[in-house]
Amino acid sequence: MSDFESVPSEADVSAAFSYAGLTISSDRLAAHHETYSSTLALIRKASTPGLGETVPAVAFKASWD
Amino acid sequence: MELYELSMTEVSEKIRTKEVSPVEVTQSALTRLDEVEPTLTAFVTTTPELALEQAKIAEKEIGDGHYRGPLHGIPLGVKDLYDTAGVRTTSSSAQRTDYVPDTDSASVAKLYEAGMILIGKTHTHEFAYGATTPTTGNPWAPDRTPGGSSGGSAAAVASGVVHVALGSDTGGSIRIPAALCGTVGLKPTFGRASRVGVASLSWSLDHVGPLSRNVVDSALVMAVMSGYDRADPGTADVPVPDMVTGIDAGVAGKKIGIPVNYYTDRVSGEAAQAAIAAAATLETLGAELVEVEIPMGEHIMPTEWAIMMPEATAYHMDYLRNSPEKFTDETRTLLEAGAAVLATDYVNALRLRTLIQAAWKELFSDIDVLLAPTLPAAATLRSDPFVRWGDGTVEGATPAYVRLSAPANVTGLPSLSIPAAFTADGLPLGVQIIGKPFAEPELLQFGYALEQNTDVVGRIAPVVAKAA
Repeated sequence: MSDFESVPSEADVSAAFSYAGLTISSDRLAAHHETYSSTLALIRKASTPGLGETVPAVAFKASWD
Repeated sequence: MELYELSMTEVSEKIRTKEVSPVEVTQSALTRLDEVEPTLTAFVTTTPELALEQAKIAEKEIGDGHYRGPLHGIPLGVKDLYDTAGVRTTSSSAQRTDYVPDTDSASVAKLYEAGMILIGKTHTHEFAYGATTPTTGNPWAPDRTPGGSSGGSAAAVASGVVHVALGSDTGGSIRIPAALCGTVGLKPTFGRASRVGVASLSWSLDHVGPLSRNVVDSALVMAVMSGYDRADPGTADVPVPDMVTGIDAGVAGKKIGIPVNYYTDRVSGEAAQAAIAAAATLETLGAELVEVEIPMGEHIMPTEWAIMMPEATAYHMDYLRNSPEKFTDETRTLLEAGAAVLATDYVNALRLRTLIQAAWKELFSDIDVLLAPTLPAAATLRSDPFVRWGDGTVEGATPAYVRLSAPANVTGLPSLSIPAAFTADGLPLGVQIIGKPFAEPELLQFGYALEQNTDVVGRIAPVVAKAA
């Protein structure tokens, strides 16, 4: 597996915040863009190629006990 | 010698034999609190009246022959994420300045039932979202961070106010402050203990557990906190073992994995040497050291952050939309970033977690435990929370500290941090012992062996104020 590199632009982050219903001023967006983008770039590495048939580490239980 | 200076085992025995009363023990804790709190600010809220009231009840119960056990009459610090009925629970955030729960968190209720006495609520990095706890000083050097997020609990234990305080651990928040303050810290197996009534950072990664002066203190408290709780779907329906009996069984014949990667990358010489020395001590006691390669190391931090961040943002979404200005800027920025994480990245992190768990199961097929530095470096200055490496790179304190502790959160494996050494500057360093699922008793045996064969576990910091 190798990492998928992606660093979101300020416009990408702004659009995501808008869709999430968060009001972030342009000044704030600019001031914190480095933190937003570097964090999201790290997280994007979780979408690594080759996960195949791997299931998520969660399990819904239908029982009522 | 003051009562607070005795070990918890000694205090407990004196209470059991009625040589001292819980009231005297509590008064000693409160006196020590008065001495150090102005320098450390370890507590959001102190509860001296409640503590003395609880101590008088314990005194009467014991006098009447109703001794509950070794925690009866022992003072306790509780991280301010844990709900405490009738006692303000702020999570060290302006969002919850006035929040007074109606009921106790599951862990607090169990420890009250065991007879423990609440001294106060300890500071956390706001909502546990960071590893420095800026409000609080390190007892060994108050101008330095106690670590976090359970920094107030570590400071309260290391300064001698309490023998035990509660913490929570999503990326290292029990073990990081334990290591930086020179205390024991136990993050149990995921599912060992209920999180009900504890403010969440990440449902998939949160654990609750104790920080303590000595190893046996953590064993006693962890055993009481443990158990299945249908109200917490993360808990496992497995038996709770006696974590104290056999703690002195020794480590002869055990195989200890010594990592040759991941836990060796960007680690200070003193931190690495502390782990080497701890391993050597255990080897002299009959354990076998086996070099091992950590699998999938490059995927651990993306998995940790990709799971934690969107879950944290989901938990705080109402605050983030309605009163974002009440968060500190640091917490607000992280929560905002979590809102921009793609659901596919989150789910893929959960899939990576499946693969990492399988790879670590294979790793443990040849060893009993893994031994590694708890942290890559000692406590940073509070005014400069960064680690500077020899190659010129600068790493924020939180990501640096979390780097070596997150594997036990992603895998859910139990990890015990034990004081291992002091730096040339007099700052504590820790070593962590990571075990197989639900192997807390085995980890405690390793910790106890180190405690009995070194001279760094159980110390109380003198607390000498310095300009922050």
